[in-house]
Amino acid sequence: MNTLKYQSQAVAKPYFVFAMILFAGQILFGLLMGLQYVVGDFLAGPIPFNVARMVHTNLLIVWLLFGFMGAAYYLVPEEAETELYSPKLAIVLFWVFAAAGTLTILGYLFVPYSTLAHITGNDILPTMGREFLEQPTITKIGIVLVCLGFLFNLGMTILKGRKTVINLVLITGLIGLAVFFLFAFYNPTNLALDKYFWWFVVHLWVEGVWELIMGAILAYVLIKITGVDREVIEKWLYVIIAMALITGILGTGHHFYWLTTPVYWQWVGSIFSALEPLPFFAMVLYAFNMVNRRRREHPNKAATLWALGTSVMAFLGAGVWGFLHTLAPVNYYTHGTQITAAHGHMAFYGAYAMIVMTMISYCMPKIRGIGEANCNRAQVWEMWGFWLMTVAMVFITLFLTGAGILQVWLQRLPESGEALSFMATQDKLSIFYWLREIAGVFFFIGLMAYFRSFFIKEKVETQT
Amino acid sequence: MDSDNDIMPRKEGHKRLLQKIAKVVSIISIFLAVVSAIYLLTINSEDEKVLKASIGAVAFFCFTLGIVLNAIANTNLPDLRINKNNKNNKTK
Repeated sequence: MNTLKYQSQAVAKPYFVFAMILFAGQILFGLLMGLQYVVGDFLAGPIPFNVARMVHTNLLIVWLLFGFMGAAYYLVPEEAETELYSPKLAIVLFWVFAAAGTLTILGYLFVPYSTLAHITGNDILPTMGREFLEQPTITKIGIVLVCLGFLFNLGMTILKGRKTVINLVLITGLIGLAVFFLFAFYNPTNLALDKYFWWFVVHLWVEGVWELIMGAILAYVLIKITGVDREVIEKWLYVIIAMALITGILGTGHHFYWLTTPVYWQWVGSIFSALEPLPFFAMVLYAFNMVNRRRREHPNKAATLWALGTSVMAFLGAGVWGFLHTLAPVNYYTHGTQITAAHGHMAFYGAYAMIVMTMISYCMPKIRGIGEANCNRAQVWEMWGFWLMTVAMVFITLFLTGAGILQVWLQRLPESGEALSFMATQDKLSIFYWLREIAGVFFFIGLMAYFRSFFIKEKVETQT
Repeated sequence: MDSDNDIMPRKEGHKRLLQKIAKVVSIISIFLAVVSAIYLLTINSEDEKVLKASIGAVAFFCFTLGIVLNAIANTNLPDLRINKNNKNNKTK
């Protein structure tokens, strides 16, 4: 049964499916790394910690990009009230990106990194060797080409169709994503300068333009599941993206505290990053307010749960946990400790992983021809997946926060002669790492429950 | 409205247990935020920058958490439970 408003929306499906496959890979490598924290030589030969970490973080970035692309391909035609400009281009770009991504991950796993750099021509334009931007230069060029094709396709669709606030905010966020990625090609030899511009990619993605993407997707889903007037939701969206940009851009300063930059960055970074939770704060109030004012009971309860859940978890992970260690005097002690890892885990899951799963939850039943919602049994499995993953992530965050506090206490607070060394401190944190690993296993079980929900078919009565 | 098969929501006056807990915690959070803010105002020493920042962070954390939990507690949430008699997900 065809339940799509525009047939070209179906191109989102392979993006979502591949995103979920990569998500599973990310969690498996996360579990492996978590174990290597406490059993250092576990699989250390074939998959050393640095490789596992690189795969874990790169898979995260790539699956989120696939998720955003899938969400955009589904959302834009419906908002623009027209078919996608070129569904074929979307499919071609999918295979190009999937092939490039897969080859890159296989390269990380099976080729020594220096050899990978050599055979992919890193000498010609050196961009490799930096955290999160480890991709070979040729892969980075591929990402740029895929982004250009993707933006062209969406841009032409919007130009020929209806221009809504959601579409325009989404495309602005996606253009920003592509533009800021260009800083990945600038790789100065001065390490401080390198880090300075490296944050233009990393920070201005996750604490800048990605928030626009998240806001647009959440607004779209809320309109659909609550039936609240578009005008009301769009006004909230304006406020949220304004706050995200005002606080997020100068909030980059919280990464410049200890980069030999002028001291005024400690003030600029502290003040503006202290305000960075505000868009997430507004987002959670907005999501619950819209649900409170709903004009319909949407049958897709799982999508409603994801939409509410993402706003809360994004507020906690990105907003609260970010704020806890963002002020310069606090960050002086906490910088680069497990507190950062705690913030990173909950923020990425709450804000970006969950918004992609919100969108998947809302539109996959339609793409698969099931209807507005999956059958009850599938939704039960999906909700189990939601709760298991979310509660596990809360515990992962709490255990990492505990580890971070102890790390600061043992390694950072004492005078230099009395402080424990990094590795001696890590030994003392092992109980937290074990607990984090157990929580990680529960997260994986939740992910499996979530995947299981896609394979449950129940005969659904058809209204006559 | 974007769909044809809209159903007006049921009015649910009662709040769920977790919402009641959220309400209590929100009140405690706001109270702690006020206490932290007052304590922050009493710290005058220039040497206490870290303490000031930490107490400021606690005040902010408690305040925003209190507001968010209050919003969650006061929301008329839809019934997200799935039971066998629930036929809401019929397709057209």
